[in-house]
Amino acid sequence: MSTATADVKVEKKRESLFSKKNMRLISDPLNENNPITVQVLGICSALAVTAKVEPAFWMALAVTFVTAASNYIISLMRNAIPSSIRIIVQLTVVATMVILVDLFLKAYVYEMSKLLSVFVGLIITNCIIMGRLEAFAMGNKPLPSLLDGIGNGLGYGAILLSVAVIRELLGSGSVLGWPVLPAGYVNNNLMVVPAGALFTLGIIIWAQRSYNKYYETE
Amino acid sequence: MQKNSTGYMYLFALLITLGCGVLLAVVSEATKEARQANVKVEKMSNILSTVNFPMEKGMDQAAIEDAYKKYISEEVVDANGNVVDGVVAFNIDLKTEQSKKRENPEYKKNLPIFIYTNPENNEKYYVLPMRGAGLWGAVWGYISLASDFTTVYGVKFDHESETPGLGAEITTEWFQAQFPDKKAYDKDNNVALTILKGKGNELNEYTVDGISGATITGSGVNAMFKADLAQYTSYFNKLKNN
Repeated sequence: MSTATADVKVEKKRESLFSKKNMRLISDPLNENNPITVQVLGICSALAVTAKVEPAFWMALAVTFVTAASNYIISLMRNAIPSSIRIIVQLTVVATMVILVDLFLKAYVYEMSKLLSVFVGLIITNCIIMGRLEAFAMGNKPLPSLLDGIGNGLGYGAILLSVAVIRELLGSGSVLGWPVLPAGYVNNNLMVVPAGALFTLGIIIWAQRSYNKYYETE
Repeated sequence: MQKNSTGYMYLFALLITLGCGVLLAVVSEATKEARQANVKVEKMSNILSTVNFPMEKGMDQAAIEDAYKKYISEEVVDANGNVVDGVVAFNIDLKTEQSKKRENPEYKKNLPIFIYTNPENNEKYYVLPMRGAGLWGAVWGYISLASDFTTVYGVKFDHESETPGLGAEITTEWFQAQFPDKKAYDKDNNVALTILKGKGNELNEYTVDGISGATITGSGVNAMFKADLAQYTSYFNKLKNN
């Protein structure tokens, strides 16, 4: 009997973590409030590392980890951070997380760390992260903040991977290094250079906004 | 203590810096070995690829290390061509050697040589490391010479921060494929291997086409050839006369 009640308790707790409200924290940034296509943040790396799918995947993973971890840590300290130095504190935490990711990549995914090179370090300047810290983590409890971080990281990653799949397919005729298009296909060099990313991203933003009927209000 | 007081602010800043610092130091120490192993194996695979050692994609670290130990022997010489004992060629960092030389012109640089013996015909190839300056940062690479000490067998370039699509093209297949069978030194033993400006030049046995829009990177690599390959001429002369 006692175990049954314990189970119920645990379930209740779980329910609150996976409640509708919390789930929206993850699902919202994937579509309706996507950090790249709707808020137009984090464009720099979306253009830079999306020529191939594999580096885009690792970049998405790295950014998701950094947003989630720094959101969580800042939210834990949110009531203790003196407001006059809060941006500095946020930056310190973000920078620490980014260096952790960099060390990890260098140690265990060396090829990718060479491919991503400076762009791992530049995650520090990714507006999505600071934006989420200021807009969400400073005013919400740690768990929702963690979910919000994961959601925004995944929303960023989803767009990164979409752009990368299109670019690698049209630019190199392959996906994840596997040749997909027939041998007669002439690679489109525009897709390999950053300009190709700009066009691809623009089209994705346009398609998603018109599907969601999202318009900039005056 | 008041949350908005100056004292609290300093205390908080101090604690957060300490916390982050300690965390990074611990993780950095914990991953140090793995990171160093990656750099070491990359160097080995660069040297092996310069002598066209057949390497499969995704060859694991242990296999590369085995191949390196089996087929490559190392030697350290000085600018007069004398063999230097007690220094491990693989551990020599060209950057530190160059800066020691800059600080003290009397300093005798240790020059590493990696010698590959082809198991099929016992032919020897000499791999020389090089390091110079490109447009935005360092450029470096390896060049392998056949046993006549001048015919290029293979090259491998890398760079720190050259412009993608321009200077960074020195790492591409088409650029490096121009080097085999060129001559590194002319008849008077001067470094003659040169990258010309742009494409479509009339080429001879010493010259290769450059990269359009990457003239400065090209001259950087040329300067690197001139400075670093010249250091080995006395050693090669000694080998020739033996």
